[in-house]
Amino acid sequence: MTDYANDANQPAADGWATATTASGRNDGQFGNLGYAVDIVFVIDITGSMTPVIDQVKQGALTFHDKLLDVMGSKDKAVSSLRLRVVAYRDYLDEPSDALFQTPFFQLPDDRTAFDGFVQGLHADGGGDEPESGLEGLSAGMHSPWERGLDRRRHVVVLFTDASAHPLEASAGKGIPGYLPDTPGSFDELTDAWDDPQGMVMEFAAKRLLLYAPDVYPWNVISASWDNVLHYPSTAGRGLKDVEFTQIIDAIAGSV
Amino acid sequence: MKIGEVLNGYEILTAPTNAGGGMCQWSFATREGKNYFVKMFLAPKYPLAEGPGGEATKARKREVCLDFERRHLEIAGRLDPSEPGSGNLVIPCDFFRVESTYIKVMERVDVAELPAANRLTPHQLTVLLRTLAFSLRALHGKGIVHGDLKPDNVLFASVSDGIFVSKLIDFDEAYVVGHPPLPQNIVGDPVYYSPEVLWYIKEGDETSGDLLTTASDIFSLGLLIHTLLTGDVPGFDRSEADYPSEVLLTGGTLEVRGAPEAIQPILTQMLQIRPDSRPTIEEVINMLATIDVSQLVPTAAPIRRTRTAAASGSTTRRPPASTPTPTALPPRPAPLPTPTPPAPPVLRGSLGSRRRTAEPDHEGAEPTIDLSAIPERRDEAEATASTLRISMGRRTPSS
Repeated sequence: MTDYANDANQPAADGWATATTASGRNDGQFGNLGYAVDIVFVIDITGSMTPVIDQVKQGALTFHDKLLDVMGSKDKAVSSLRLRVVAYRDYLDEPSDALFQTPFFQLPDDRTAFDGFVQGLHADGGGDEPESGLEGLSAGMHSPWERGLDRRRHVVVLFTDASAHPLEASAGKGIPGYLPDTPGSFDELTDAWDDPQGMVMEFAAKRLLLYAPDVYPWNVISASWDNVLHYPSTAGRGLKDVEFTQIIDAIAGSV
Repeated sequence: MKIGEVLNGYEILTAPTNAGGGMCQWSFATREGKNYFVKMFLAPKYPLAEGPGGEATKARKREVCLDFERRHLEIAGRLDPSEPGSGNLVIPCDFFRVESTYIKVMERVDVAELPAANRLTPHQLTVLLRTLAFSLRALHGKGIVHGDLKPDNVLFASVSDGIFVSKLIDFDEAYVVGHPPLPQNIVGDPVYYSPEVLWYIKEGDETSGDLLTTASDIFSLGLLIHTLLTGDVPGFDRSEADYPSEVLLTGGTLEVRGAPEAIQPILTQMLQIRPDSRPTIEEVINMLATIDVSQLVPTAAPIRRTRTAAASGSTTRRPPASTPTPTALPPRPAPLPTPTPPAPPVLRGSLGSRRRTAEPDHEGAEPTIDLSAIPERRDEAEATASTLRISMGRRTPSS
């Protein structure tokens, strides 16, 4: 058997001295680990979400404090925490109120602005399902993610109780207000999420948490996309038991 | 993965959870009367021909998947649970893919409720530490860095009346010496990072992977032992750093005087900033054998210091951007009274998060067995991991 153990420290001995010297810094001059966490809440605000929208809003409003509590219990720190919201209904029902989005809010500094937007969310309209969930997801994915600091976590959390229209149903149809960077097909959206080259989503940073029924397209996304946690609900029976503790634990556990 | 579903012969018994799972979901399962721990990876997902996505992306993802398979099989191929000292490594016994999802299976460990360290006898503590060190020696002897040593990855099992052994689990982040994952793919818990791991991540220099050796595990093990004995990592100035390795890289020091006096010299050596200044695992084992074990038991119960949100410094280090405003507000604002959400769960306990329970009273009668009772060898019939191969699994829907 090769005895790796006796030699195992040697590369580090030379390498550490060489590397730290080459960096121009001595031990003790490296600075802190910068960790950026960006989170986008993508929320279906059609009428069928009425029973659960307040729960989602309350979860979003208390998210910052609770995440920090859980992170604290794990002795972990975050250098930058930003939240934003994408709220959607149905482009094919009423384009004028089909999608709203905020910039990223730096928490806790921008808390008032974030809270103000979330408080204003109201579940209404949208007609029958399906809804424009894939457009909402695309808007979340195309967020201006933090690309600096040492480590990054880019999280999309989507809440819906409905299936989604195929992107082909709306893309390229000249619908007023339709976001121009929305992919034209589910394959293109998949590429935007899954491409290891990470032009839209950074490969190692991305996470998608789905609170959605076990129907197309959410079941396909859950089965085939990387880094997706799906908490399925039953289509047509509303979104029940949105447990923000699950979300917070999942995010804190991945940081 | 659902309760009742059968994956490659493993019947899922418990609801899948992500708790403590990082990049996976896990469940308990049974197959042919034996109990298993089944881990379903959230990434990478193998792109199926009939699955979504363009061909170019699928081709790139397949390369990622093949690298993933190679790395896991490389590690598994080096481990032999029948070798002396390997009996407390919880090694994968099956590794397969069901459709797009990779699944790894380990035998289920019947986790024991471990009394607080100050209620253990010197003999009990010695067995715990030595079994943990033996497991790490087995890895290091094969040129493997565990890469994710932390309390969650050490379970405790009762092997005889009053005796517990440490079970080392989770080799998903393991790598061959000098060949770690790319900096952006390093996961693990930053609390237990070695200075060189933190440096590797911060510098993002893929060419400096040879810095990461078994010495990195030694640093993490030092933190782990300190946590086992005291409930927390060594003390440091938390106004200057968030993590032990960070404080060393920023010129600070770690304080091990909270640990029992007998083990302080060993911890001090294990927690050196420079990898070459730390002992090997063999040297750690030899040092553990020479200490006065009567002085190994902490005099106080472990105290878990909890960082508060206010003290974490979180989100305050960067100057905030100017306050953004929404691009549009949704119509019909009509905020309603909102229910009070449930409080987040408070996790308690030190090592072994798979079952975090209140620590029981324990009078700790002196056991009569000696260290020769420490299991170092697993039955040959269980030695399946060294022949681990990736296979295609079958899914049988739950009835």
